[in-house]
Amino acid sequence: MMKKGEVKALFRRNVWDENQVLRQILGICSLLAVTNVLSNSLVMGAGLIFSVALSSLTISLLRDYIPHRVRMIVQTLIIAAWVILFDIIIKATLPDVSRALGPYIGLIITNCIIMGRAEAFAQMNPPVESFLDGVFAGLGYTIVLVIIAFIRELMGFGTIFGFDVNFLGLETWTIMVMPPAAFFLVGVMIWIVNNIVARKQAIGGGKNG
Amino acid sequence: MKKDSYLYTIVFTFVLTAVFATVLAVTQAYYLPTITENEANVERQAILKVLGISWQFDLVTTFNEQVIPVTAGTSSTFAVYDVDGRPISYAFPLEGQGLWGSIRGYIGVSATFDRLLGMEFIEQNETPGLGGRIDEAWYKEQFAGVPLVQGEDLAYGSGIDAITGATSSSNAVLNILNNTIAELMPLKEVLAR
Repeated sequence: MMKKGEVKALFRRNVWDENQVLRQILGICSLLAVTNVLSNSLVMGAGLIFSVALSSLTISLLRDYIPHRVRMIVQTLIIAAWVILFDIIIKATLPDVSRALGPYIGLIITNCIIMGRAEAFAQMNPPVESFLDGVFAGLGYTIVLVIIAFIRELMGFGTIFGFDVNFLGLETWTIMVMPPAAFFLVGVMIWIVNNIVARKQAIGGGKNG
Repeated sequence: MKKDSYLYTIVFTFVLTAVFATVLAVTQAYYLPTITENEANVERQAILKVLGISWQFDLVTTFNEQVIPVTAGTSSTFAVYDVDGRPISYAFPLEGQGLWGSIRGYIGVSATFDRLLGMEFIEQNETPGLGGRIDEAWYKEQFAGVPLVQGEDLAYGSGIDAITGATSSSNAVLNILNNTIAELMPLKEVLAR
């Protein structure tokens, strides 16, 4: 079993130090598409956490049996199976959300984060660690998604989770609803986070680098 | 069997695929009735809305009690009749090309085909926040009560406004609407019989 400190380190690494979106620039395509409203971003985040955690777990469980030659095809198969499962469940239980997200849930299959965790972590680590690694990697992605969606929904529609909070009647920015806004916002976030990390490394004598 | 042998690779891939395919097939079969029902409910809601019928929690009951499917020519419509069996209104499917993808929905028409009762969309892929605003209530409500005259197309300006910044989507909706109305006008006689 993992020690508490190890879980914490894994969490910190996936959510902050090596955040999939801000530090590794992965999963940008879905980020551009779904972050114009908060509710869709949350479902997308949940879908990714579900898919990446269970794919990592499955791949880790099978890691001693997967032939090296076909490992990527096998990984894709496992990822696709979990994503389709999630898609079916959402279609049956949350039809409105499923309609709003359209093809994007199915496209989680192509999200680089899942394959990235499978290749970089799950195929050489035990199941529990791999599962948690997936959960935390998905969480890091979801947090970024929610922050960007919060800004975009507030400025683009004047709403938060669909509730009108634009009491002052301010003009909403159409650009915030469209994909370019996500580019600007994610760019600014990457800039800020990289600055903080770079400063820390400079103070710490590059210990983390 | 050696892990890197061809036989092992083939057997492994085959077994794994079979297992996952089975799991997905079972889940899909289990949820299929719910998914089909959800999709049918979206249609039912749209049809009731364009016919101006309100419902509380009993969507399916309300629909089945009040709306009767009718076939007129090649198009399937939904009709509402009064107690004497005279038609009050019809709902017709609306379908056509938007700016980015197909737009699908329903329109409600009075029994005499002289008034549009409402318009709802089931599927549209217009830009969220711009063309996507065709699905906002204020836009759709403008079309309720608009008079229909045979041979005359609806146009923006008098009573109906296009969406600012989404001219193409607005025009696409109007085109689809005019085409649909032109196609269903001849059905007036067919349905009256």
